[in-house]
Amino acid sequence: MDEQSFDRLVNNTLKILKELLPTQEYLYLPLLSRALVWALNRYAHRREELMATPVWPLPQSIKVKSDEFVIDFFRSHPQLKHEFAAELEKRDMPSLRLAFDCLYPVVGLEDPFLTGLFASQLEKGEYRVIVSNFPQKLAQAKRDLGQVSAPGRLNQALEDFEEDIRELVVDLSSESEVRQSLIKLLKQALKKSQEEGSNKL
Amino acid sequence: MDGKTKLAINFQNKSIFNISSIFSLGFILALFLFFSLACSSHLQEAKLYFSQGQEHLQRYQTSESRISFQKAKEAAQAGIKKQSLAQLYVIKGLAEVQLEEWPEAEKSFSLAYSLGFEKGEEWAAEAALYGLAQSLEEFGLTTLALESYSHLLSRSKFKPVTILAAGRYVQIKLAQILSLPPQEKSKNLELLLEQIRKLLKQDYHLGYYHYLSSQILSHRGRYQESFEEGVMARELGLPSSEIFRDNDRQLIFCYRQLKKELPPSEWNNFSVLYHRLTNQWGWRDEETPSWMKR
Repeated sequence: MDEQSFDRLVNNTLKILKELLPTQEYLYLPLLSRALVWALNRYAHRREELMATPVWPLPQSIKVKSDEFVIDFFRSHPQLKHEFAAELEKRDMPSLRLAFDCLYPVVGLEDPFLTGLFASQLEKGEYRVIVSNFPQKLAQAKRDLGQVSAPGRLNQALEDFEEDIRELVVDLSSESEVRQSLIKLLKQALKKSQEEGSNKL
Repeated sequence: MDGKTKLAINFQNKSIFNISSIFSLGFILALFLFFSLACSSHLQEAKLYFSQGQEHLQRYQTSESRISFQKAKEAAQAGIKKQSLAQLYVIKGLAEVQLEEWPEAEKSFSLAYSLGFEKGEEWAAEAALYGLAQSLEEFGLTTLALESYSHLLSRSKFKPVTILAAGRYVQIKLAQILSLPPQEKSKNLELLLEQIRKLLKQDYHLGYYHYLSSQILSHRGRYQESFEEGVMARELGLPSSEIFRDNDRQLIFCYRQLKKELPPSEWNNFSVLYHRLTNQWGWRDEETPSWMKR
């Protein structure tokens, strides 16, 4: 993948995001990350995509899991197992379920928007911070996205970003690695543009 | 005036009449064609936006899909202003279902029914009941909401509403069952499973019903069956990436549980099947689907 082209692409999309969401910088990474992961998925999971039943409208996933499933989720993830060792030992299901509701979509299902929203906490392994901030941060993101001045333009910018990214990426044999390196590059580009902005001021 | 002149005038009048008739007919035809084209273009536009909305939903882009459904609704409304067509009301109603504007959807389907769309009346009633059930749930009136969902999943002929009701019903039921003593829990889980199996008899090809089955069987601790239903769900296709990934997680969970509880010979057989399937799906190893971070 050509890093220069990628930088250019990110910066072009960032310009539009800055216009449309000038004070909500925290949303840039989740939005770009979601578009980016979808661009990769569309290529890598073409078969699944084609096979998907055209069920309409889309129903929800089942959020209520058995105790065994919840415990297995924490035990099978080394960092979560360590972080929630006390709760696991006491089999404190109310606390584990509370944490599960927030962590499962982020860590378990790797929702691209949510992993972008909590990227810094995930990087630092601050899982309890994710749990305590989850409802407020998600509500804030939904509110801010709902109030965007030109939703059609935002949608178009993200679709263009998705299309261009797909053209840049050639080999997608290991999707998660590509995704990780792209998110890293994305964060660098965001940081760079922030620095440029403060220099101009 | 002699006969010849009379005839000539009559002929002339007739010709004038004929020419003006042709003109009026032509004008009416042109007008009809114009409105038909305008309506059909609005209909095409509404259909296009609607399918775009569905596409966004498949990509788990909720906000983008809402924009498309809103546009589909607006295009249908513009078409309706020119000519009331049942098809336009159906598209409008379907977009309103997506936008969760249940009273509006009810009205649109009723109007579609009045214009000859036979299923409109039934759809209107079911959309209204689903909307009511959702409001009851939001207000914390879970028992009433559950009754409405139960009615819809056993009687509804409007598939989108049946599917939505089934999902909500299983979700609420499982939450209630969690707090029951073990024996009652098993009994209630079996009853719930029975309800979903009835749906499967009607629509065996729907991956989402297999997914619901798999989730219930997992609560029951019947991991081999849960696994099998999860495989069916995956193979038949699931409606969103969130459900797709959750189903993969369920398959991995079943694999781990079966590893602990199956006798060695059975485990060997299961393990061979499991590896064959995960290879076919392109997983990196037995617990890492391609979408998952290593």
